[in-house]
Amino acid sequence: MMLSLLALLLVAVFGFPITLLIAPRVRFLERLALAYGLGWGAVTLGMFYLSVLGIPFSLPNIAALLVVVTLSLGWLVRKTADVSSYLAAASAPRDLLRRMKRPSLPETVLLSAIVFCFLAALLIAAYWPVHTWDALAVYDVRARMFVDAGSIKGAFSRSVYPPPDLLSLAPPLTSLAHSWLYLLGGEAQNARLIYPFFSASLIVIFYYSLREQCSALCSLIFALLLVTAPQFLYFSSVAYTNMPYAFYEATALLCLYRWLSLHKQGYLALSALLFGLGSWTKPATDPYFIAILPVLAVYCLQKRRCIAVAGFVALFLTVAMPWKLYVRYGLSSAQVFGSLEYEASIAYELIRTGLNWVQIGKAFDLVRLAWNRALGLIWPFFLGTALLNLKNLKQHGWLLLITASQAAVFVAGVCVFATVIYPDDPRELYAVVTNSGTRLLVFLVPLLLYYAAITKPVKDLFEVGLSVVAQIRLPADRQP
Amino acid sequence: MAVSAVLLFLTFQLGLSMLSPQMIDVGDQTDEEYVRGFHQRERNEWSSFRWTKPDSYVMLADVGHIPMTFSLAINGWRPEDQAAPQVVLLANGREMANFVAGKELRTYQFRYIPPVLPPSRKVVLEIQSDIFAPSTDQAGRTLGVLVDSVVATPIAEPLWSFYLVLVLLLSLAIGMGYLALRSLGGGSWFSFLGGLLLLTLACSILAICPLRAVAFSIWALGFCAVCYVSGLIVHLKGYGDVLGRLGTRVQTGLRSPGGRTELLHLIRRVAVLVAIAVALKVGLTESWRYVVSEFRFIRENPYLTYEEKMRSKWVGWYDYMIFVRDSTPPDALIMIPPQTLWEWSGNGQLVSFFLYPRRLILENRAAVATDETVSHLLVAHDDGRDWPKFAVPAERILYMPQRRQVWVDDFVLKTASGVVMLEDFEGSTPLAHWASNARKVVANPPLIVDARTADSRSLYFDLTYTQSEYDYWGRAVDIVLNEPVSIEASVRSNLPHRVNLIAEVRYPSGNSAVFGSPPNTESARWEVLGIEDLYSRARDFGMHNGWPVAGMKLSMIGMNTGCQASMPYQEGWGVIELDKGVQGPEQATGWGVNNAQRHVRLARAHEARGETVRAIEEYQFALELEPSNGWVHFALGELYFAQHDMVQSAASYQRAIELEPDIGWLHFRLGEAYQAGGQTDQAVAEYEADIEIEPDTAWAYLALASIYETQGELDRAYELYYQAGELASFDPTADAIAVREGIARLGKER
Repeated sequence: MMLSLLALLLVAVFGFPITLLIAPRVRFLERLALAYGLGWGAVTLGMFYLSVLGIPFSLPNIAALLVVVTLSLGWLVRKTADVSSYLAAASAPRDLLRRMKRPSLPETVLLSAIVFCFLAALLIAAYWPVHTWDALAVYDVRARMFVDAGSIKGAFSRSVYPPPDLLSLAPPLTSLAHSWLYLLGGEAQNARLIYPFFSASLIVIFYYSLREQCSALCSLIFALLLVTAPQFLYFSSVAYTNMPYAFYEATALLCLYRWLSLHKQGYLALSALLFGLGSWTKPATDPYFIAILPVLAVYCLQKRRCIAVAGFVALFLTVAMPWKLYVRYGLSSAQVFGSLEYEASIAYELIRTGLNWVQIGKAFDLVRLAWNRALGLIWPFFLGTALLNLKNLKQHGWLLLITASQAAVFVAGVCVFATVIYPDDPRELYAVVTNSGTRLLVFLVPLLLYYAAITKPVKDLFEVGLSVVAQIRLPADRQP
Repeated sequence: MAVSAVLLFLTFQLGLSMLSPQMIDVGDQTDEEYVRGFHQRERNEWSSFRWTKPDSYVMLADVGHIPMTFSLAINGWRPEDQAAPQVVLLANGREMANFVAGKELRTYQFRYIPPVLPPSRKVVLEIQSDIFAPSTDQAGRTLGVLVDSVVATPIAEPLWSFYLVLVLLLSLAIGMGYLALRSLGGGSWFSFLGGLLLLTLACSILAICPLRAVAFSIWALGFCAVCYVSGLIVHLKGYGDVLGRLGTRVQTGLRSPGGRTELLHLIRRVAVLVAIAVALKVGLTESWRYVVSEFRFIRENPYLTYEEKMRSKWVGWYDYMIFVRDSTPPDALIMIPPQTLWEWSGNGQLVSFFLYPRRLILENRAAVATDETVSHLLVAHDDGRDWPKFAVPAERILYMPQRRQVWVDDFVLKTASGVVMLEDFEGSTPLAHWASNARKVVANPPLIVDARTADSRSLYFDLTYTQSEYDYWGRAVDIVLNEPVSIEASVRSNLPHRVNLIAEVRYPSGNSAVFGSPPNTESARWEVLGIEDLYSRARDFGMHNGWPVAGMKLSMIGMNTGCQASMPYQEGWGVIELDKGVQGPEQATGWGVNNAQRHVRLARAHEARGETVRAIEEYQFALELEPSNGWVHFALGELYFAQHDMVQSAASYQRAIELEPDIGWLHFRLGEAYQAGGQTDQAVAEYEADIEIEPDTAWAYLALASIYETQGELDRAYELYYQAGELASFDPTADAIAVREGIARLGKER
């Protein structure tokens, strides 16, 4: 347990200089949350490149690589970034404690509820070993193979069945993350501990993103809504890719919005990196990234910032493409699922077969089903606030566009499955949409809640209606 | 009051009509939230279920206020000699039904009308029944009734008495709200608006979530009463003044020009606040449920080991995988079934996790004999479907520990000169342990006079085997075999195909042979087993071997409790270590007596080395010792099939079917032999017989579809392809591809 926590701490340490380099002006806790996600990216990419170079990823090799990378980044930070911000970040924990004002009673209650949920997820994750079907069959088994073989290729080539095509179907982030834990502390380590910290990081980033535009009370209430969203707590405590994926995608989209709308420095690069890591986590996520491109194209035309957007795409490809290229050329795998060719062929097939309205009708039924399972009341709540906010639609237009583009990809995806991939097999279609489809929607929850929170009716409620509530405090002598 | 009463009544009608039934699949992974005090989950060929204990109950949260029809799928199975059980159902402590459950699975329906007061949030459905202790149960459990599912369907038709009381209560709540506001200084208009607001709120919540709204409204009633009483007691007159002033301001505001906009904003804020509150409430409730269910388990089992935790999640599957892992070397290459039908055992990635670093290979029948690297096969039993479905040259067959309980009675030796009974057991050991290759655990003294049965003179064995081909328990006799002799005994066992009678014959040349009866075919039933005409069989076998037969003697009679079905995929989970013919078959057996198993092993060894003719000879030898072994006939049929001798092959399969009529696969193979020999009508009949016995296997549908397609009966063929597809799902195996191609081809043609 302690070794596992040490492994997770090391990951955050590796991620810290990356955040300093890319986004120098971030609050300490938010930086820590980002460092955790980026740290996993750095560790797993490091392991991947070691494997590509033919160096076995033993603990000393990875540690040496990461120390070199971290020191180099530290040096870069000293050279390029504002050193004072680095120092400010370094002294941030003390500063944070000093500046922390006395929370109001409702804030204390909400914060306690959020912390309780996190601790509950942590306890559940710490108690149970990795045991769910896909977690074992797809991710953890690869981790054990990697540790044993010392390289990705070595692990895959040893297997007769499942063949390398099948083993390389899912990107390797979570498998390599498990490997990191097993390398550090042996196979008795509980890899499930990785996941509650992903959800905590997402909550922290969500809260601080919201805090830029809303009151503390409002941000906390919406953070609690996020924590209690359908399946959020479950995914926080099981070893599926859903929570890391939700973290990378949702954070990437929030960062993108903060760059588009609030022009926050470094957030575009951060968004690209996180998108790339999302693609490094879960298969078939590229369409979600592609759907962002038209939004960015509109922005390019309006603001003439084409170079920045081109850099965004390039950075994404730098992170997302190596695995695809490695699978194609390094492993000589015949699998094409998730590749651009595959997606293009599906699109072509869809156009060729034309619009099959009967199937599309069925597809929309399935969309509704997955929607309800994944989003629960969050969806009607979002719609309601969006409707009440019709007069101020332009105010957060970029966010609405981003959200709409992601939702459209999901709907289109279900239509493709219903009309092209499984037209004759309703049972398989139902299973794919209700299981995989529902999981793919989890990252949309933070986005919907974020939009709802910054709409005028909600702001009104907290600024006018509940402003008094936010100031209710326990008398000083009864403070805990 | 009247308006609110009418509206509330209508809202209830609407709310109930919107409710959907709630189904609990007892025995499914998801049932933990609902069932308490049941035995562990079990599965049979058709479904999953649990047996009740004396204090079993099913709990449904948040529906305690709703009138419902409960449908319980219950099986009150009992042995033939016991009466069907009496079952009493109690809902929240009140008796709902008292009936005798049938001995087969039936659905029983009951109406549940909840009491209005005190309101209950959940329904606790207690199932009380007579219990019994099945003799075949390895864990020695006492069982109540088998519960397969519980469905709670809200009653949508009007229930006047129930609604009226509730409606009156809620109307009273609104009225009290009005009175409370009035007494706190609110104007009549303000109080009226307040009452209406409360009504609207109640109605809207009821429409969204009627179940919780009922509870909410009753709580609201209590809350209003508490507030009112508190107000009176504490004399919060100041707050009354404030509310009164607020009411006056609302009245004034409504009359002013900007007042309406202000009111709209107020309503908008209230709507957002209510939406946030509802979303938070629902989210917190769901999260709380998840956390509580997990915490309950953790609190009750704080110190479980990794193995125990995995076992609690994967139930028997974990033990199976650990057994296979412990029974195979790390460098083993293990063949697994296709995932099409063996969803768990065929999931290469999942099995990889448990068996790593052992490598896996997907089903490839040719590779079993030809690929030297394939060292093992899984013996799978997913959802009652057995695998492998083909003859396997086995070096060793390791089953998960199997507890065999065997009762023996009326053991007799019949000769022309009379009948010798072996039932005088007093003061002596009737059957001494004679010879064994078994790996077993002896839990109880292996041979006792069973005091548990009505006939206390029955012999009783209680043994747990992991591997065996024979485990002979015999009694020495000395009878010259020169006349017809037969042996008979009544046998009962908890497992079929595991017990048979044996007789050892010694020849004057010093050789010996062991002859056997067919094994028991059913579980938990008394069967009479017998070795008929031992003299002729022993004489023929001796002459066949060139041994002198004059003066041969019957030297031992007894029984084999370690009998193993020759086709290893029947009735069990385990692993087969393949015989690659590396060792000489003589050394491999290490057994000097000529028994049927020895010849079967020799035949397998020859088969593994591709020496088909010698393999056939050995199987024929085995049949001379045990002519009633259906699986040896089947193995012979397989070899003839491989040699394209369809006439002999069909004859062997037919004999196997006569001896083992309930195995669908035998019919399928006979159908294939007929089809290959051009006898299509007979083939169709055999495939149909297979479907009748095992309706959920895809092969026979596929084979039939292909015949009908060839005959031009496209509609029928299409239907069969579709049925096969329903069973096979889409998996990259040859069968699934054939199904998909068949559907596509016929779909276009039609």
